[in-house]
Amino acid sequence: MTVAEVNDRGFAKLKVPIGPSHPALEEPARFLFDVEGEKVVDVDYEIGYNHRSIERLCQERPMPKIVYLVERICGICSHAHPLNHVERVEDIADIEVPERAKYIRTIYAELERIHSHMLWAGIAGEEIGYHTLFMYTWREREKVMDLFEMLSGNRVMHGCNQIGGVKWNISDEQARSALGVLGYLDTAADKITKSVLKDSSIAERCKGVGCLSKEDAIRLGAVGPNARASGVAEDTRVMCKYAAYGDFDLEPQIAKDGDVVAQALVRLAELKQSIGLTKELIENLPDGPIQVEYGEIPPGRSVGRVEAPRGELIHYTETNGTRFFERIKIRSPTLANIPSYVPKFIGCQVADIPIIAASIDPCFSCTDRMTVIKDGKRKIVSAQELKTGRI
Amino acid sequence: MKRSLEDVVQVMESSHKGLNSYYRVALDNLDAALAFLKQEGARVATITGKDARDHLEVLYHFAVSAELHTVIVDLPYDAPSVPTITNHFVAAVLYERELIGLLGINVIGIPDSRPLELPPKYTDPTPPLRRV
Repeated sequence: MTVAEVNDRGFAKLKVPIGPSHPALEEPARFLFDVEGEKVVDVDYEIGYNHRSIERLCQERPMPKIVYLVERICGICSHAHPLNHVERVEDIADIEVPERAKYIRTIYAELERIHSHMLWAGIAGEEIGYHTLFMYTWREREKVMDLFEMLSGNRVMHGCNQIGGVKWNISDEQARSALGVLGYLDTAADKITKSVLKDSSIAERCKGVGCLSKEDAIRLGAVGPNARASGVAEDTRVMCKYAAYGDFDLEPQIAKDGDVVAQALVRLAELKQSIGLTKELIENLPDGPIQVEYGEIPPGRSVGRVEAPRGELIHYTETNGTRFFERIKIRSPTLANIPSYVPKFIGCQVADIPIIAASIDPCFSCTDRMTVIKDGKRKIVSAQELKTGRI
Repeated sequence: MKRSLEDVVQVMESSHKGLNSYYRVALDNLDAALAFLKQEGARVATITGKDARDHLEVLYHFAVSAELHTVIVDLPYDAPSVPTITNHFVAAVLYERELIGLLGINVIGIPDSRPLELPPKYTDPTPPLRRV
């Protein structure tokens, strides 16, 4: 912290660096705040502390490995990335995926949203010192993780998507168990919603904190729940109707104030919506195969969007007729949401920085996408290795 | 969109599939194409830079409701540069910073030209996404 000068009211003008590693941040990013007394007057940000050159690796490794590689971009969106990736390849090769596979993909996508929004509610609770909320939501989130383990064998990396369909079918017994868990989660979501929205301490602590106007949200390209909390009624599931979303009537969940309370309102409404949608998906799961065979992937290009828990996730995929991709470009929702930090932070109190930083549900693994751990040993990747892909 | 980009700007090559449209335009026509898209209510979705071996490509992706429109410009391999599009789309600055850092493309007029992901001490003259 450095004292630059003193303003006319006697408050010191300071530069306060927060991050890349800081207790107020869940993931590495660096913010440099200009503060006058306790008030933030400007902010600069720096990302890239998690950069792993995955886009380059996508060009250097054969096609079948890329589904697994993009799955490892992010531990939360470990379904959204491969879902978007396989949909792009299927679009290029005109592969028609069986209906049952589309439903199973959508079930995983909605379960991912449920656990991610619960995770966010817990972190937001912790950032304002409400540790009970953190413990409670994360306890309930474990049910979703157990459900993932039951369906795919894994809590985080599900390995569900593959080009032409899905790898894991859902048995009748699994469907019955899943419906039981979803019934439990429905009640838990009501309790979480009540404990967040009816709590006067949370309202007083978060109301009017970290505001983003609708105009700023549109101008700065905000996406997902962050934009919807400011009244931007855009939800990729509703607009693009990918996977099985075209078979269901969904409304974007919006709020208008754009503050931390509005962020909570949107995510908690989406939590309930996703639980209901997942039940519908399981109850209406069509019969049939879960995978189709496909031939060579022709040269072509496809760009498309899916609604990851944090918002619109874009993949651009280009093939060249070989077994390697020509180019894969990934635009994570957090990157689109970073510019919206500026109006949220300016004018806030220093004590509000952690909850505002957490409010957009940032994910810098997705955003930065260099350390490789092989045989239990950590290795720093050199620039030359990155270029040649020999890691 | 109510009108097509092809009606307004000279397009060298175009293709359409599903919700996706691609238009290859000359660098001189980029500004007119972007001004048209802005008028039609487009927002910048992202920007892709690509090393096409004998030249570089920049693909500007725009979202108009459910549709995605991509404007492609070709650049020479040596000393590639494009004008900034932040005069039309403020949100493009981070994506343009990616072009600078990862592909070594000069973005003329960009308000913040720091490479986005690379560390300040990254001194290798060849950017990471260039094929070597």
